[in-house]
Amino acid sequence: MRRGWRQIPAATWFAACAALPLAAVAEDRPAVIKTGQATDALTERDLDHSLWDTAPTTTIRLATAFPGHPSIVGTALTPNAEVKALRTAAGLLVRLEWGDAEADARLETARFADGAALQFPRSGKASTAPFMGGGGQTVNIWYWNAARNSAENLMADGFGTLARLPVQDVRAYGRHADGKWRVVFFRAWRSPEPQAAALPMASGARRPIAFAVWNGRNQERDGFKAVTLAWQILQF
Amino acid sequence: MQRREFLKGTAYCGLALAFGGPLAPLPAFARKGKRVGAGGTATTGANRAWEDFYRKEFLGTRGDAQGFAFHCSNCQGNCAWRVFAKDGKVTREEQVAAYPQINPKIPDANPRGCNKGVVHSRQMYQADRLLHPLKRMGKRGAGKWRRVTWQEAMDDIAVRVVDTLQKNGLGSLMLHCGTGILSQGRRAGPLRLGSLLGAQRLYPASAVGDMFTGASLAYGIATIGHSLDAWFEAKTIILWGINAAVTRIPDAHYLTEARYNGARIWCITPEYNATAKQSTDWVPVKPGTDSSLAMSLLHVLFRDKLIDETFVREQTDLPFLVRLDNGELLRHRDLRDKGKDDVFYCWDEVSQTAQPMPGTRGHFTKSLRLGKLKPALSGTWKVKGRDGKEIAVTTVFERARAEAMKFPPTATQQTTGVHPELVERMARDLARADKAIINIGFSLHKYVSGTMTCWAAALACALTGHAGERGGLDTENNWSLGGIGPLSSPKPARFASGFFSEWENGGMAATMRQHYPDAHLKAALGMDAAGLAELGDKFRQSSNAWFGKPRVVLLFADNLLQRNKSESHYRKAFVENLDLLVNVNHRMDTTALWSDYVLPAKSQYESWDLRGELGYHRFCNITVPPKGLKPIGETKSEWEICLLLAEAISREAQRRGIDSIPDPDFLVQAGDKAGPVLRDLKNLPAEFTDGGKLKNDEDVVRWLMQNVPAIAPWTPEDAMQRGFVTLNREAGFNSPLYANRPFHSFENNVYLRQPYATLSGRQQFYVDHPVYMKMGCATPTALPPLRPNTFPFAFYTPHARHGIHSQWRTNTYLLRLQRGEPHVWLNPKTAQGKGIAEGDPLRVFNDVGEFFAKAKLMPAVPPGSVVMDHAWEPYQFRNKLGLNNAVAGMISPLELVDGWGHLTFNPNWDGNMIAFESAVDIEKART
Amino acid sequence: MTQRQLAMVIDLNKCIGCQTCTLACKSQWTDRGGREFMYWNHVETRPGKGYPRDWQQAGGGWEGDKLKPGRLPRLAEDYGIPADFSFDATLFKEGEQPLRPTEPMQWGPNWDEDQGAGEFPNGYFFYLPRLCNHCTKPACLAACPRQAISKREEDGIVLIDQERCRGYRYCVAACPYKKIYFNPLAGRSEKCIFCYPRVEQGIPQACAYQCVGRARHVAYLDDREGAVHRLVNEWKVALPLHPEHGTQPNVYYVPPLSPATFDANGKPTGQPRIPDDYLVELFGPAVKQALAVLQREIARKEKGEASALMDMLIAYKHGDMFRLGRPPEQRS
Repeated sequence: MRRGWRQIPAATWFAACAALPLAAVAEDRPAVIKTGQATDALTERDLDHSLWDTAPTTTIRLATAFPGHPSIVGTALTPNAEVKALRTAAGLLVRLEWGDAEADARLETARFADGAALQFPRSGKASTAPFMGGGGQTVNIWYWNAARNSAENLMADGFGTLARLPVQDVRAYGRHADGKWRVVFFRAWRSPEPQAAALPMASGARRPIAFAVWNGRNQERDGFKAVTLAWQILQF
Repeated sequence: MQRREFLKGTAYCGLALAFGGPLAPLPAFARKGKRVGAGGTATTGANRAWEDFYRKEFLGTRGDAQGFAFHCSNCQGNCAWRVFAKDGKVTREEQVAAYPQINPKIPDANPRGCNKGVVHSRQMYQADRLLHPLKRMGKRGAGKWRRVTWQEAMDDIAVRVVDTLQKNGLGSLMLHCGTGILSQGRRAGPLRLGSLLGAQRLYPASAVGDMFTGASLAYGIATIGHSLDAWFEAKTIILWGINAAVTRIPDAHYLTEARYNGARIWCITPEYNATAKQSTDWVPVKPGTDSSLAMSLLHVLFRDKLIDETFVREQTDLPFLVRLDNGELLRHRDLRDKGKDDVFYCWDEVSQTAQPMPGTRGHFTKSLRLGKLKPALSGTWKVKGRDGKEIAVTTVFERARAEAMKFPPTATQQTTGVHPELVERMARDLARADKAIINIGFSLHKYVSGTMTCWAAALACALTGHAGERGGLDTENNWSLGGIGPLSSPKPARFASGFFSEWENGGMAATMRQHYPDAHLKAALGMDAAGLAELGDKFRQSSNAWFGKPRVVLLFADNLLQRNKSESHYRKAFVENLDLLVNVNHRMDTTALWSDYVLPAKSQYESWDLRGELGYHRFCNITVPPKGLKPIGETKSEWEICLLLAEAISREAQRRGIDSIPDPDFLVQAGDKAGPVLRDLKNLPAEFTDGGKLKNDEDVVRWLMQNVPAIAPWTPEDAMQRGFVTLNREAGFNSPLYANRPFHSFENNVYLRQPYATLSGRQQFYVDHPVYMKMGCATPTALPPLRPNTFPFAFYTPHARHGIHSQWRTNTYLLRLQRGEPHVWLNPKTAQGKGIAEGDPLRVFNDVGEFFAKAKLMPAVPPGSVVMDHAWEPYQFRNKLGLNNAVAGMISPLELVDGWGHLTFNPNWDGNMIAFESAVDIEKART
Repeated sequence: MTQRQLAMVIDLNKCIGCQTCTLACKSQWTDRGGREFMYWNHVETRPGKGYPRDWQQAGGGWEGDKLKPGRLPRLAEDYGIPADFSFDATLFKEGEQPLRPTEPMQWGPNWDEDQGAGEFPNGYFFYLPRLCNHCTKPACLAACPRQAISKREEDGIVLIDQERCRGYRYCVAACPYKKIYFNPLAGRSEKCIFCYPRVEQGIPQACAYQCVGRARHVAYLDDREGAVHRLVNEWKVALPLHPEHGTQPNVYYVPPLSPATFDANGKPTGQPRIPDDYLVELFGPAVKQALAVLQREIARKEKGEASALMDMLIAYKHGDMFRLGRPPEQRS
């Protein structure tokens, strides 16, 4: 019985949606994040390796995500993030960096931890809804949380459906310094997880990617987050 | 395209909500697992396999082995529990809750238990648990220990035990088991070893201040009353100085159930407490003024003739004649040469002559039946004395009435703070109830006046005919199990007075002198400190108790360095002169902390045990450890420890060539010759195990089940199956314990007219002992609070909810339900007057000592009082100095009386440490 | 739709504040795994700030069809840390270190024990055991964006799916009773599960079965022979806590009676010392009628007359207070 959920009148919901920055979304063109080639076997722990300097930096704009549920209210704080990506022989590394004055890395009853996520359409196609997928078009989400400082491999098929995947083969590691979080994600080119997004090994291939950042201090969690409001492009 | 995607997204979730349509299904892999529960799932597509998560946890706490237990401490609850263990470790306990209902019209006794019992499994493995034998390395109390082997500890202890037996005599060894273990199984070890050695031991109830001397005066028995299911049938219940909702947790339900059954419940206590909350009427008596209130209660009964005369004439000494010239009871020896001291008279209304009352100690008729006698209650007459001179006489009734008439409720209100309307109504509720019970709690006798309050309450019950099935006074019912003697007392032991030994061993008179000015004592008691000392000397001469300071103490289950008043002073006096203090304990309590050796014992669930002597209910509980329970550290049962001690003492004695020590203080009949009891050290282990029959705690429990008549016909196997057995009719000792009725004391006296255990053979309300005469206490009267006015606040310390005395007081789970450290309860006005706010650190002090604690502001506490729940361990306070540092030593002259009728040293006549008569001041302390 | 609702009545006149239920629940469920600070069932003194501190001011519940905002209680300040104590330093080391929590305690589940309100001699307090109300219209369930909360069809027990939950805590904020706790170790929210693993085996809830005050009745709300139905629907002496939050709780309370206040001369006034207004604040206006019924029925017993209500509250057999296995079919 989820009667309570359904009893929320539509008016409440539309009021929440109306607050979204629709215009901003419509005007943005997707950013193209070009991956660099790393010669060494880098891992997610190599946050500051000089090889990262060889990869181009893309600044992505973030905005408060559409609330998928009336519980989710508030304005996310993170306006943008810098992204770099590197290919190694083993797999793909994506580095995300964003400003956050204080690290929230501890879980307590009234505290939330900072976090970041990358989202890929399972199909590799932009026709998948960029907001957690839906209607059978699933997304694969790599989620890093400051409290654990590790990654979870997740999937979703619409709002409220986020679930852990059986195969946990995504790694991530982050560090907070000088008012910034720097987090690197890594996954091998091939994953035994059938629900995971496939990563093309061919150079020049393009795939949709989306980003999300949570500021724990601002009680951001779940759908309360700063996101790219549309698919961006990751060029391999 | 992106915009379209976005719009699709919003439309999707918007529609879902707007039309109440199905929500997005869960990912396919998350739906695996079969549905559970008969009704299937309430949520479309939801998977319920996860619910096994909590099911597995539940099974984990249920464990792989089960045992039974009760919690053997100085709590009289005695509740049957089931103990669950997994991989040899106790996981949890839960009440057995299977006691049979004795009568469909009376609520059953289930589920019994409390907040302490339910966390014992946490106590077992807590960090204050003693795991290994420890030997003190630094100075006493410093907390410097060395782990030693059992062998090493036993060898050294035995050397010092045999030393003292040789050099200082048998009485120099104290082998005492305190009130921390009152069960028949675990207590048997130390009792038996002490008895074989002739060691001295204290009467435990007296040592801890739990004697009901007011009841002893009236009945010759201290612990009398009802099984607590009797509350349910009562129409008036007066709870006097007993916070039943806190100290009778397993039985407190009967109070509200009685109220729902139409009872009026009166709660007499200075602070509005958890029991006052349960009552129909709360009587806010000022601390220590209860005896004045009691006299006003009697006043109303006498004044309005709310008196059951038939009962009073037969069952009490109220018709006994009292000489007007000297105030003494008229005795046979007053009328005849070489007359008896214990034959007394009434004025017979039929023959208009003085007639001996049957059933007194000296009368040949051992019955209370009056026959043709009709004893008068009121009047004055003249009788001819043995010298031919006339003696004017009146009755005890007249004397008691005259005393009560001095205390009209309007006159005592100023003293007691109790409005006359309450007293008047309470008296009528008492008189008119078919069944009425007055419960006297352990608080009252913490005042010198408590003896009088309790005695007056007994008189109130007598006047209104409340006894047997009609209720009456209730101090605490105990069963008479019988049959245990050969196990616990194979040879005579040296019984020392509890309160007086503590008084002497602790040099307590010094703090009394410090705190109570002589003039003040004289005004309140009619004697000063020297007078009390003189009385003590007389007591030492006349009493048949053992006197003498111990040199070596083997101490079980008694936190005496925590519980004694004037804490630091007592400790210094008691410990300093000892050659050896050995403490057997399961946790590091204050007494263990100051000991020379600490021997780690098993606790509640780890050894076999049996407990059935407690009369709150009729069930005898058994402890059977769960199978495969892993020992905690090197702990041993008390029985095993006593056996090790016996073996070590035997070895050491033989090494010195001592086979036995004759003990001329006790004679034993051998053939036609009486000779001294032989303390056989060589064969001590064999004597202890009765030739190998009693090797361990299980053997002891089996022995008890086979030899205690009140347990028949049950077998150990019955108890092991259910966790308890029901006691039979024999368990009651002045009434039968009927299978289908609550127990009431004195049915044998009331219905069969058997004499009471008093000098008069009746409920006795006149004591003409010189001390009583001198103090004006020959019949119940009021005594003022003894508190000196040198400090502004009364200091009293009711029993704690979150501990059984000091047991479980340091339990982490219980401390989390408090504030983690001791707090003093202050009325907000009292606090305000001293500039003290909630949570502030306080210094509580007087001329005896001081302690520090935090302030908790309680509107329920009377202004002018400093209150805190008792028995915190001293080490829970700053500087490790506990609350008893601010309590002066005090004993009552009324309890120092010996050698008068039934007032002769025995388990029913021994005194109390007075705990609630000290005055203190408070101030805000630095943090 | 939930077909049946298992419900509980707690008789506040029988509750003595002994905390046996609190600890029975603790050892059954919350003494491990990040739950140490939680008390799925606890007993607090009323009036008082309660547990978590000031929960009545922390929001949540329904306003018509909308969820009211709520705030998340803090660990140390509002719940209280589950303190450990300095046993080793105090007992096994030299020095004067008294036994203290290794971290200072600021609050706890029973912090304002026996404090209450009023002025001596008219101070008053009573005990209020609290657990998840397993509401008919649970705000927590509505607040969860992940559909991790559900209400079981067979017994109406509200559960947080421990596989679905990701610890977002909207439910914590939404619960007007603040009876959902976030487990920082597990990263999930948890709460009273009405002991369903026990109930499924015919063993009543630990808090209810182990209640030594015999204050708790458990039965299905539609079980017309059960005390819950009779006390709630027939006698109307058992009322939900803070009904104004609109969640329709399924834990009901028999309101507390209290001895009379005294006037300035110490004379009893005949007026109960717990103010009616305070009880109305907790249980709604129906509490006045409930108290009147209780007093009327007690008076019957005092006069020696029969009272089915009193007999039910007395509960002659402990086992009869729990009816877990009754079929839904009712005899008329």
